[in-house]
Amino acid sequence: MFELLAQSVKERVSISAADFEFCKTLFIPKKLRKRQYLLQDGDVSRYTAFVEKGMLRTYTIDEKGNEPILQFSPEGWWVADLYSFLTDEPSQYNIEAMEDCELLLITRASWEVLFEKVPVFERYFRILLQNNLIATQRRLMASLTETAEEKYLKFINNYPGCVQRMPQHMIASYLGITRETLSRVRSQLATRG
Amino acid sequence: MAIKKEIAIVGATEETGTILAGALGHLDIDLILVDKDNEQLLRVKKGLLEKAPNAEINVAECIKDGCWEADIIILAVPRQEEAEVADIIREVATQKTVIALRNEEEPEALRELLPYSKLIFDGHLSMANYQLLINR
Repeated sequence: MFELLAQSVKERVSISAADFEFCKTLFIPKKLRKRQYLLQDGDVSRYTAFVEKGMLRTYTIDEKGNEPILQFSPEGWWVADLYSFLTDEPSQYNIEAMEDCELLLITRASWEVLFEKVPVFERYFRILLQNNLIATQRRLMASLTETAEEKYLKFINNYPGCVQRMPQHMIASYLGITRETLSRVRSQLATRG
Repeated sequence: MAIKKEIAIVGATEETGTILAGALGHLDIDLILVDKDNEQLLRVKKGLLEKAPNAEINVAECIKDGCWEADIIILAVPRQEEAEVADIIREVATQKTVIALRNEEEPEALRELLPYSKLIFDGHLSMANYQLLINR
């Protein structure tokens, strides 16, 4: 149940077995079925979640009813609306299970206990946050400067082995391109081999 | 729109479990009926839906899976089965509210089996108190 979390933590920081055992007692194991929500817009985000199994999408709904996707979260990823989680403000996002998921949830109160009792977790989350900031900056720049093909190639690099699990219209939404453009890019890449 | 809490009743086909399910079925929750006998579970579900057609009710033959999905777990099993159930759900009940439908006699045994769950012992939990737990 905690295999991927253990791997994620140990890849980034040194942690004793005893400390990791303590950390496990602070998480809420939660199974979500496909199409169930972890968060809906207007709600306050009470948890941040680690994905042990499955995949979720974080999206919003615009005034035309489109669903632009901010992030996909497969196994080994963290998912949350951090702004809502940290400020208790209502979220503008929906986080939906795209398939049956096994998650590890942690509340803000437990998060603080974790940092206090196992200080190495502050370093762990700092590393995750700085990587996330870098990735966000890169994605913003890519959206302004890159071609559809470049965006798609980076996407499959960032989500290895996940593309088959994602409907095409959702990939297009994430990349900010039309389905037709995505289809054309994929055809061209397939032709080039 | 707040996501509905999922409440698992372990022992849903026992008399107490069925009565409680009937009462909770009118609240704005997702109910998970958990017991070993799938046929009985489906019968109980059918009976509940007849009285509360808009209720969201799922059944789970696997006690661990049913409690894994749940946000709140209610143990409506006979006292002598508590230890066995606690053993099965321990891993998936961490930091979850677990309600034992009995008064707090000898709570240590259950606390030892579920050391990281938020245990409530109450044989007479009112609907108002359930509503408070759901809204938390």
